[in-house]
Amino acid sequence: MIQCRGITKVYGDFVALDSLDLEIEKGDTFGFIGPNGAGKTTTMRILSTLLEPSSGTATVGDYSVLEHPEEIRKLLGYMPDKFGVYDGMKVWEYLDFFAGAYRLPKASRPQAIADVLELTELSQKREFFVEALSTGMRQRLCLAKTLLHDPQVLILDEPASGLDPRARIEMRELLKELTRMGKTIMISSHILPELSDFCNRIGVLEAGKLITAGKVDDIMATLQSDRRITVKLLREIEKAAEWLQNQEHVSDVELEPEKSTLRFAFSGELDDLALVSQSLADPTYGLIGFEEDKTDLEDLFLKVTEGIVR
Amino acid sequence: MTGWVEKLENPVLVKEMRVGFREKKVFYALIAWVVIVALVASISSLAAFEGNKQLDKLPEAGKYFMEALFWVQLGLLAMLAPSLTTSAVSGERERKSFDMLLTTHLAPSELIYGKFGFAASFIILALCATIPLESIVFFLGGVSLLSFLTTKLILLVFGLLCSLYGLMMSARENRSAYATGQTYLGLVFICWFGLMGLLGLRYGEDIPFLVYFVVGLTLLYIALFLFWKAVNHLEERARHLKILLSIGLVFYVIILGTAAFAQYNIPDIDSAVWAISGPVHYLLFGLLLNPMRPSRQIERRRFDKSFLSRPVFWVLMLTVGLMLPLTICDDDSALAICLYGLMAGLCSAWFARGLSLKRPSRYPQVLGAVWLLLNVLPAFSAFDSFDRYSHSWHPATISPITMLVHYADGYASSTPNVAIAFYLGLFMVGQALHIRFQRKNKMREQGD
Repeated sequence: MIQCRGITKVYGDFVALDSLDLEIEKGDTFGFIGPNGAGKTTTMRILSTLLEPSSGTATVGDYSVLEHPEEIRKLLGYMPDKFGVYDGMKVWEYLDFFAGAYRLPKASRPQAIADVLELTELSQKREFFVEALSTGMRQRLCLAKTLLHDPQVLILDEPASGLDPRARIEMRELLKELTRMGKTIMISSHILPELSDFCNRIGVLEAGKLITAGKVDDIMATLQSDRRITVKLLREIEKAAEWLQNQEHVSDVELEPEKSTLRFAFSGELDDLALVSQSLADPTYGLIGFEEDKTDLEDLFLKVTEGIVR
Repeated sequence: MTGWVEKLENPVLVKEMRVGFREKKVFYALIAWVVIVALVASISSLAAFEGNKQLDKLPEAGKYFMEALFWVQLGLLAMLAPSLTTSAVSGERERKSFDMLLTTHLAPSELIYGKFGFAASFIILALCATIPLESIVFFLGGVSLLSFLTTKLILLVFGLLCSLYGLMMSARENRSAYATGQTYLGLVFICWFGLMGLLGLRYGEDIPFLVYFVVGLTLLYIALFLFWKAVNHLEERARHLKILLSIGLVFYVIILGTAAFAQYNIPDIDSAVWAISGPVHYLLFGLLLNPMRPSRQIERRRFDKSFLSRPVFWVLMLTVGLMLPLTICDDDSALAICLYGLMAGLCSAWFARGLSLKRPSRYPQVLGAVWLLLNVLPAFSAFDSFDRYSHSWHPATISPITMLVHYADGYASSTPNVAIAFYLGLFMVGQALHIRFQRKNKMREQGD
């Protein structure tokens, strides 16, 4: 659905994007992560036909951003990271304006407005003035206007930024609903655990370069060459640590006697790990816990981007 | 039918009307407008009656009253009309709502039309609001209904042009403050020239209808020019430049046709040919002076392929465009005219060529401005010594060119070599700068 081939964007001497290659399939929910200034917004603006790349090509739904921006705009809903609303307008008037701008027939506008208001849970605020809405509601209103023309592709730049925890949860649920509706979504966010909740694919961007992209699980597996294991023992914890250090595939053993906890890195197969767990299950040690540390998107992000920064 | 009406509906205009007329400041502006006009009406009516108290002098009082209201409204419009549009587009950028608008299916022309529509509505409303005050003039007499309506029409056209100028600046600038500053600064100069023309038309005697016709056409041309420039600032398209050029050429042909008609059908009007064709040259030239090359890759490619980027096109257009009116004017100085057209055309072509560089530089504008100044300034200095046989008043024949024409007419006090040297010099400077910038661009492209 979305393809970028060697996209580069240069502002004077500053390279905002450096030969970005990216592919997003139809129905994918693609999480775009990266530190500030990595080039996420630039990529999104190029795909939304607001910017043109200095070199390279990008297509959305087989239409080139350079050749057919009008066609892309019919397919696409774009929600910028920062946006203003028009004061002195009621919520329905705001949506009616955008419905007109999206060329929705006049007869179908009231229904379309009602639908997006319901989806974004703003039906109660229909007659409210836009400036009277809270930040979270404004974000939802902006998303509502983005959905008015039922776009196949959604490009959402930091849709949850500046929201309180409750509003974030509401926004997350809304995005999950959109994912269920089969929309192709490209979303950037700083709140990484939220992305891992509903994104099936992610891309990590840093200093204008795409460091990694693909399915979340695949990337995790690639990066997790060493599993981190946490073991809780009631007795003989030092002895267990000493034993572990002499085992094959085990490294980086950390001991926390006050918490009765042992941590180590394991590079072997699962069968080898099973043998280790069986050995530690010996009554001498009093094994009460043996689990693999889960790496979340935040860890992954830190792991991936660390190298570049350093 | 409904579908057709729906296509005409402009969401931006609907939104502007909804939001704009709800704003208190719009209401206060309208109140202030009526109050000021009412105050002036009161003072001027008292002044008008003073010394015109006899019944037979009431029409004089009526004229005085109407003139006072006309000028005060003109002044108010010069201040108010641009303010309606100077933040129309730049405000969207500042509010961060511009990107959202650009990703809708709205064409840039619809956006501009919607914004302009609101300003036009307000101006019409303001002008209508003062009609009850102005209608006193019908009790006094001295002003016909046609004259009254003409006055209103002049005010309307003036207001609309001011707001269009503000809109064009607003589309060009990212900040409303800059757009406002540039608009009012520009209007100071524009109003000065406009005022001279207006005074001439309003208080001149025996002005042929053709002059009004041509002035009207020129104003319409300016309005369309400003509108499409504003559209082009929003989204650069090679297509927009062709539209601008087409508008210019169509108006040029109409005005030239009118001039030719006047030349051969109305006795003693041939000087009008100069008068009415002069501004058109400069409007066309103004088109050239704008950085025409679009910055979007695809549009740039389209521009490069089109005739607009060909210097030879500009050579022909400027040369023929400048020579035609001179030819119509039954002048004897054929050699001088040819040289003038050729030199001016060559210079202009190099300005145009410069504009087709990858990174348009400022030198075409600078050289163009020099050319324009050298032509226009002496025209004003020679305004008093108008003589249809000397051509010394006409902007296109003043400056070094005047010497050529004078020489050909047998009035010359110096040889045409100076003029030829001047234009050749300008041409060579243009060429040198062009080569320099081309080299720089090549190096930059290699660097990229």
